[in-house]
Amino acid sequence: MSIDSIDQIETLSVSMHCLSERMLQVLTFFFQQKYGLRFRVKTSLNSDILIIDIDSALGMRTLEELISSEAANNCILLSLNQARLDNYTQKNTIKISKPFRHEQLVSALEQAREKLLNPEAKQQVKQSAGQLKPPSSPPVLTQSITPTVEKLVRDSLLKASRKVEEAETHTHNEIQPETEASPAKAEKLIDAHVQKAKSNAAQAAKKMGRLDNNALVGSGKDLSSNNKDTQDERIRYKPEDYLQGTIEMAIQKSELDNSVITIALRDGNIWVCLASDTISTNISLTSLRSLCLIPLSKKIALFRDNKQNIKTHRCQNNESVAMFLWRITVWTARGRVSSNINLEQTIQLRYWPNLTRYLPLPHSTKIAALWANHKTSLLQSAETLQIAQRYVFSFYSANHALGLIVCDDKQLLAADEKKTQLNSKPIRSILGKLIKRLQNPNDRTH
Amino acid sequence: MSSQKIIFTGPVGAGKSTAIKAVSDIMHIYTEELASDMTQRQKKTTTVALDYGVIQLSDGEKIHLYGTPGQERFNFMWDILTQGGVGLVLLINAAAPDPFGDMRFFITEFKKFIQTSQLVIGISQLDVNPSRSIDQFNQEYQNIAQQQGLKYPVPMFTIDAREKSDINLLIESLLYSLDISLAK
Repeated sequence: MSIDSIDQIETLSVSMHCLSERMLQVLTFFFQQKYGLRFRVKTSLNSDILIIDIDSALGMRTLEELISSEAANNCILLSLNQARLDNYTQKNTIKISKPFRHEQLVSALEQAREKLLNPEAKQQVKQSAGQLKPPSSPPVLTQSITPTVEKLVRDSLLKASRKVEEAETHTHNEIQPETEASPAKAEKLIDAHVQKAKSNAAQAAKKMGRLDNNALVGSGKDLSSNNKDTQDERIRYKPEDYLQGTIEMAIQKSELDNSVITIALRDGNIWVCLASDTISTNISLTSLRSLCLIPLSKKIALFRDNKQNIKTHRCQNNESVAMFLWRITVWTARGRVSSNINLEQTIQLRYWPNLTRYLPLPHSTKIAALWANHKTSLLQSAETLQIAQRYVFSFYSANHALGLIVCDDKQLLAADEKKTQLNSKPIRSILGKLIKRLQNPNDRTH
Repeated sequence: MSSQKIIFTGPVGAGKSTAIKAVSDIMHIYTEELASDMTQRQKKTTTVALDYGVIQLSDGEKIHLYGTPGQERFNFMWDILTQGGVGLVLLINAAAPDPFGDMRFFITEFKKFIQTSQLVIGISQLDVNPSRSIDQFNQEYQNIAQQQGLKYPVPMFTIDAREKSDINLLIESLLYSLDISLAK
C-alpha cells in the first residue's frame, strides 16, 4: 500500500527508545516533516509502535521489559549486529539492520500499521534483517581512477571500433572499398573518447576534493557587501547549543575543580582532564563528527570523575585538549562564526596554532601568516587573500576556541605593523614556485 | 636561473640532518662523525661540517638547504652560511635538558639574520615529552623576542623531523610570513 494513496488517515503514535541523540533527531524530523499525518511521535512506552535500538546499553533491557508486559508485539528493532537481530525470535517483530534507508523504515512502519489497523489480515511480518538489508556503500571516487578509466575506455572502444569496422566492411564493402584511413579514424575517435573520459575523471576527482573541503568549511557563499545584515544569520552559530559548548564548559570546570570531568552522551563518554592536558573518549570519530552537526536537544550532564575510571573504558581517541577542541570546533563551525563575533573588528594572532598536529584546514598557513603580521578584520582577510570567506570563518572559529585571537584594541595598537613584502621580483617568483611544489599533494609525504 | 637558500639550525640532536634529508631531492650530503665529547651523551654521531640538500624547481631553479653543525665550537661557520639566506628554520629538541636555554642561545646567535629574514621554529620530541607544551615554547619565544626586539608571533609547530609533511609546512609558513603576497 502506498502512503500517498491513502485517503482516510488514522494517526498512530510512535515512540523511539534507546536511540542515539543523532538518530533520535533525524527520526523525529522524519516523522514531523514527512509523515506527520500518519504517525505522531510520543515519548512514553505506551504507544502504538515502538522503535528500539537494541545496540544501546539499555536497549535489550527495555525490550525484555516490554516482552514481559506483552507490549513488544508492535516493535521495530534496530541493530548493527545481524546475529543479535536473528537471535531475537519474538513473533511479529520487525527487524531492521543499521544503517538503513528511510524506505526500509517506511516499509516496516506500513507493516506495523497494517497489522494494527487490520488484525484479521495475516501479515507476513517476517521482515528480518535479511530482507531489510542495509544499502551497499557507493563506490568511492579517487584521483587514482584516471589510469583505470583510461584503460577501460580504451579497451572497450577498441573492441567497439573493431565491431563497427567489421560491420561497416560487411555493409559497405561492395559500395565503398575499404580505405586505410578508417583505422586511423578509429584511433582518433578513441583518443577523443579517452580524453573526454580523462577529463570527466579529473572533474570528478576535483569535485571530490571540493566535497572534502565542504565537509570541513561548508559551502556557504560569501556575504555580499550590499546586504551583509540580511545574510548575516547564515554564517552564525551558537557554540553553546552544540557539543563544542559543552566541551568548553567541561574544560573550564576541569580547570576550576582540578578534576576529571565526564561528559555523558548516549553514544559514550568524553573525559576532560586539564591537569594532564588530555581529552579521551570511547566514541568513534565518525560518531563525534555527527554529534557536532546537530544542536543538542537538552542539557548534557557533566560530572566529576575519578582518573582511574578512564582506564577502565576502551578509549578510541586520546588527544591533547587543544587538538580535540580544534577538531570539534572545525566540525561544528563548518564555515561559520560564533554569533557574537564582529566581522569588521580588527584582530591579530596571539600565537600560531600548532598546524602540524591540528585537523588541517584549507588556506590555514596563509591566513595565519596574515593575522600574525598584520592587523586586519575577518572580511578584509578573505578579500586580501582572495579566498572564500568560509575558510576565514572556520579558521577564526577554531583559533578563537583555543584563545589564540587578540582583538583588544590596546594590545593591537602596541603591535607594530610588520614589514612582510619582498622587494625583489625574482626572489618572489622562485619562492612562489617553492610554495606550489610544497603544496603538491604528491610532495606532502614520502 | 636563480637559487635561494634556507638555513636549518638548532642544538645537537634536534633533527636538522633528518629534516633536510626528509625534504631534499638529491642524495643528502652530510658529514657525520662519531661523537667524542659532551655530544656523545646526546647521540652517537654528530654533524661536524654541514648538511646540504636541494629542492629542485622548474626551469632549473633551486632552493638550497643548509644545516649548521650543532656544536658551539663550529659557530664561526654560521655567519658564512647565513649570507644570502631567506629564512631560518630553528629546530629545538623538547626532550633536551634545557630546551628553553637552547632556544634563547640560538635566537641570540642568529639575531642579525633573523632581523633581516624570517624565523620559524620546529619543536621535536614534544609528542614523547608530555611535561612540556607548545604553549610554553610560544610564551618563552615571546619573552625572548620582546627582550631582543624581534617580531612575534612566529610560526612554531610540533614536528617529527622524519615527516616530510611537517617540514614542508614549516617551510610553507616561513614563505608566507616572509611575503604575504605569495599567498595570492
